[in-house]
Amino acid sequence: MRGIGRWVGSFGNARNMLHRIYYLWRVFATGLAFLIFGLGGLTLTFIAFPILVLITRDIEVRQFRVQGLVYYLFKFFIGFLTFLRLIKVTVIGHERLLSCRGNLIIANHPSLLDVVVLMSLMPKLQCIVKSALWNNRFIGGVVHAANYIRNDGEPEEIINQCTQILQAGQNVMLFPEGTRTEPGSDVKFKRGAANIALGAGANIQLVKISLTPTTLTKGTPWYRVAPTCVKIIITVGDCLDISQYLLQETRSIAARELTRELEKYFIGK
Amino acid sequence: MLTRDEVLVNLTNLLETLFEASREDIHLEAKLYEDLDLDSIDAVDLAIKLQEMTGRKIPPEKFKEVRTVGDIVDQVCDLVTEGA
Repeated sequence: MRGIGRWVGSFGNARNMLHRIYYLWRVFATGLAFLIFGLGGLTLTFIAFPILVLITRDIEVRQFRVQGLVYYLFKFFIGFLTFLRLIKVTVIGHERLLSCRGNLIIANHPSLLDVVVLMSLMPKLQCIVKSALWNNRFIGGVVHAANYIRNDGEPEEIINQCTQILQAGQNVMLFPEGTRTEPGSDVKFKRGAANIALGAGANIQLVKISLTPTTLTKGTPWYRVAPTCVKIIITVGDCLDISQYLLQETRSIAARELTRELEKYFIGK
Repeated sequence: MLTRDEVLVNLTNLLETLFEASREDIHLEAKLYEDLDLDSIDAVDLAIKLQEMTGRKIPPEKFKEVRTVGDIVDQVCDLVTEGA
């Protein structure tokens, strides 16, 4: 009996050991992923984009090519993370995303990864990007060349920019929570998303993102990795028809009603 | 000519109907952005309504400085007396 006990005990130790090795592997793989992402950004900034600029003189064509390049690279990157078993992505209703024309794409923002995943699902996606990224040494060049919309401009200017892009039939992605948020936290939506949709008369494609277990949330260092493969589920919801809000005479009231509707969808308020 | 009290009453009505502010939250010290939940786009709308109310042009760079309900009352009163 004692022999068996010892055997079971050592088996438990071995399992612990395996767990630890597995965790270290995940830390290593995550570090590798960040390294590749950073190097990828640098390569693009210093090699691919200068070449693109040289061979594409037309600024508009250039920006579409950069956005297309970002799409394929993010697709590759997500494939790489999946291959390393760091994540597993499931997309429900992908065809609805692909059929969007001139829509505002609105999603919750639980992790750094969701941006990359969403951008790997839609080619030629415009997005509103945190201004600090323009000075980021790894991807500053990328956001610059793709001509993404900075979030620190004059609000009316941002709305005008988005209106032009949306009315030309391109889609614009935006996270109305404004910043990454803890799942289940009591977040108040900014009204920017509603104001853009109302200003441009663009319907809103709703996208819900869930991550289990959570990872790369705001305020956690990159090496505090998830203990198991992160399941990312992207649920493409309804396309919210905003025509009834456009009928509302007072813009500020319409923006508030629409924002409440978005909060109801994402937070269940 | 509008008195300070009349300006405050008109402004209170505007804040209620345009921005769903509740009457008990509106006083001279109330902060527009924090307490009454206005944003910068709302401020532009408000400036336009105040121009309609006073019939005078509000300089946008001056209106950007306002933080509280009292600041707006001051600015509107200044405008009205300047023009008088």
